[in-house]
Amino acid sequence: MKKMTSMVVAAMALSVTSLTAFASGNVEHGKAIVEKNNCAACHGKDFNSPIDPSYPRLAGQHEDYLVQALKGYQRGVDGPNGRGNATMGAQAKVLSHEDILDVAAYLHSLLGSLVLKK
Amino acid sequence: MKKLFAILALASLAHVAVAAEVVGNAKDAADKKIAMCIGCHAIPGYKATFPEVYQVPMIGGQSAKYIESALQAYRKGERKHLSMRGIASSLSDQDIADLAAYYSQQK
Repeated sequence: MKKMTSMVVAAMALSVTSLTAFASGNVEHGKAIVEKNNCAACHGKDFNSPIDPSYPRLAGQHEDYLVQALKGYQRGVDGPNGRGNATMGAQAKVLSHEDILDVAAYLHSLLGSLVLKK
Repeated sequence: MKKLFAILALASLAHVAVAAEVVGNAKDAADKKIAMCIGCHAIPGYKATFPEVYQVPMIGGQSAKYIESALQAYRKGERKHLSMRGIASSLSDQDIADLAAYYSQQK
């Protein structure tokens, strides 16, 4: 019975792990990439006050969405689920997949003013 | 007569200028336009599932200009996403301005 219980516990632990399949990036490395590529020049020093209102706030945004957006810019407007934007395309194309995960993790870790409301 | 033409010309210019300026009205959005948005964007943890799985973005508190430019990009096909393309295509410039005003005012 004890064995059975431990198996069930193990199975539950595994299934929880697989639910959080989205692997989080490395915040410190993400910060370094963001600084190197000078993302703050447009998105604002705190990533919550972009220099132009047509640019998005990024601080605190969902991590997996940020990954999705950067991948979209990387694929370009002709790619699947792509995004066409000259500036962001050029910025995203120099990043590796790991870099994108790390940048997203860093931006998500910042305190911002975005809210989820009805 | 010449003066009249000049006045008419000026008046029509002013009219064009008014027409070009779409002013967003958050209340109009709240009353009748956010229904399509809240099914995804108002549910904590809600994920887009096709063709990739990720949480839909938080849009409350983004600036109106950014929300407008994002919706216009979906409408034009510069941002490709099946559901957002479909939704944005159904919106007028006034709808986009109203929704942008609504979400930019959230805190």
